[in-house]
Amino acid sequence: MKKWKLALTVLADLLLTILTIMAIIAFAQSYSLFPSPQMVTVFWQQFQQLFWSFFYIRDITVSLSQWHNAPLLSTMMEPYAYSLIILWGALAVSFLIAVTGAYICFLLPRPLQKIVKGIAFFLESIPDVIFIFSTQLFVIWVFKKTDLLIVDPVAGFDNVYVLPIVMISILPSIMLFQMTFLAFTEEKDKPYVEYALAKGLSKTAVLWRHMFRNALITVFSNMQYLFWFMLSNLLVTEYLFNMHGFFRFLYEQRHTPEVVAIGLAMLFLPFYIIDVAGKRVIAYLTGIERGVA
Amino acid sequence: MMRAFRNVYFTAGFIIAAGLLLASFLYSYWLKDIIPQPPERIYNEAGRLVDVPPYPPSWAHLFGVDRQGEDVFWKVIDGAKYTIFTALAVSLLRLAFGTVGGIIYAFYLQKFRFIAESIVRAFRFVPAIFLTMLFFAFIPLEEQGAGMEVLIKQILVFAAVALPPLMLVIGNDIAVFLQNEFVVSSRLMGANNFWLIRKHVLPYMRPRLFLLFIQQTVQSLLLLVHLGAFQILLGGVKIIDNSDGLGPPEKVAISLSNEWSGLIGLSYREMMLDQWIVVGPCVAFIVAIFAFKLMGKGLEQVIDEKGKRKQRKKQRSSAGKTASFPPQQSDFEFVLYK
Repeated sequence: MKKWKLALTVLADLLLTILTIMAIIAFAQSYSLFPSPQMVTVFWQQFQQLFWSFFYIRDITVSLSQWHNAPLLSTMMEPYAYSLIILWGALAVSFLIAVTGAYICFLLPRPLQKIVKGIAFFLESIPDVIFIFSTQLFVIWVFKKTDLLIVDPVAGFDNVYVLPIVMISILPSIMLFQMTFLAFTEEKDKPYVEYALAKGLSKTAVLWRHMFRNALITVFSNMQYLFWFMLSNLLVTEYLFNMHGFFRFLYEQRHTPEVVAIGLAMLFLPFYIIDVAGKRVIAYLTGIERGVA
Repeated sequence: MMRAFRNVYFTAGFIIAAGLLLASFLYSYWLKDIIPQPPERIYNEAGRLVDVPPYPPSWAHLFGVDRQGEDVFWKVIDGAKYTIFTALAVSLLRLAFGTVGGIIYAFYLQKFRFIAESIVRAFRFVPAIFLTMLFFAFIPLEEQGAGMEVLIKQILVFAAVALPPLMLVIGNDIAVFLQNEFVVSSRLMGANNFWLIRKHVLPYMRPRLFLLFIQQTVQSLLLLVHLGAFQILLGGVKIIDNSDGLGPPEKVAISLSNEWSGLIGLSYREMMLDQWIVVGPCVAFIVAIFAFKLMGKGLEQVIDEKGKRKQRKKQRSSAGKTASFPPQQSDFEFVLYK
């Protein structure tokens, strides 16, 4: 019975969000500075059109060039898979970097900790666009100096995985590092840590067995935000590096609202899975159920 | 509010941001006429032509000189006021509507929490720049027009794309606050919602709203950087003919002001040629975002300290009571151990 209820909530959640996406797109099309009755009719027509397009998903075609049309689903799959692999890879990498970084930083002496924190704070105020700009500049600079082309910065890397994953994961991992470190410092002053240390457990043991678990809750509850940040990074990277990813595809098809709506809905699925899975993990770690799903 | 200035971080950030604005206004009203334009051509001692714009950065031109022969540093300074004021205006709008929406949500719409959360999720997972792009994608760049009307439209869109999540954040914060004992007892004594908002919610929210305001300003600045990269320009664009009369007409779009995202977006192709033209506005963005982040950090500390000070005060006042002998019931109090 409980499982049924859970499945129902998840379904309703998904449906509502996808409907909202459609509404946003329909509104974006009908938007004008001064509201008029015409705006409402346009909005309603668009909304209906988008809604029904989900039922005829097999019949939608996209124009790849002036003369060439192809069915949406088969065209979409390749960039979608590519982008998702990069996204999940980047998520894993940034998680790894952030947690090891926080762990190492936590064992450093206090003055060094302060310096690392200061650097992280400054790095965080670099916008992702500018970060990617500077990567491009760096690649060019290396090329000029040494004639070694790490990657072609303009023509894009065709289905190359390592470099985009690294690039997308750096800024989010700095963010995650700060969160994890903060969670560690908050955890440190709690009585159970003092008690464990007083009993003679080593600092590393306490850190791994006890504090890490509790700090993980903070990390997982910020997962949504991290994933969002990563999406924005991916969007910029794909655009600036001419990668053949999903966002690039959506950007090229931005004049056909149906494609954008379906694309965003598909992008929403992994996001939602992360959301639900994160809450499950927290519930498992703490043994407390916080709300359904 | 004044206490914030006693915080080092806040003051430092404020000085940087205010300094940028001040320099920008000084430049457009006064310095503009004093500072000499960079030379159109550079000759060496023998009188031979060595260089024409763009020049690379030097001590005389810190960020270099761009293709039109203008000093990038002063262009950036000139653009500071447009960019920063746009960001401030956007975050002010977001906050004004967000507060009203948050209060309504917290007081009247708690039953629809489930629906509200899934609607907001749609806004939360799509990057703000992508949502913004959708609004402008259906109009080609040349037909967007220019001037005040476009600017107002853009600012409204920038404010709207982040509004629902902000409403939910503020609303949830207020909803938690409303469960406090003193609010409940105030309500039991017959206070209506308007009174609660005026006497409890707003005083509690004021420092938090200020913090949110600064955080939203950072977000809007980030959005502006993205806009630059995707070539959506503040206030529209003007298309000028850049040809020299001999070759085919070469249409070049220029931003109406020296606003930073325009400086980045329009000279993006300079990246491969003369990087300093793009690097200048990028540095400016980093400085501005850093300044506002410092202010936010300082403000967070001030709010934290305020809470701690109140606690300490409470402790002191309870410690001030002299214990009587033999001890009476009033000497003890129940402590909730968390």
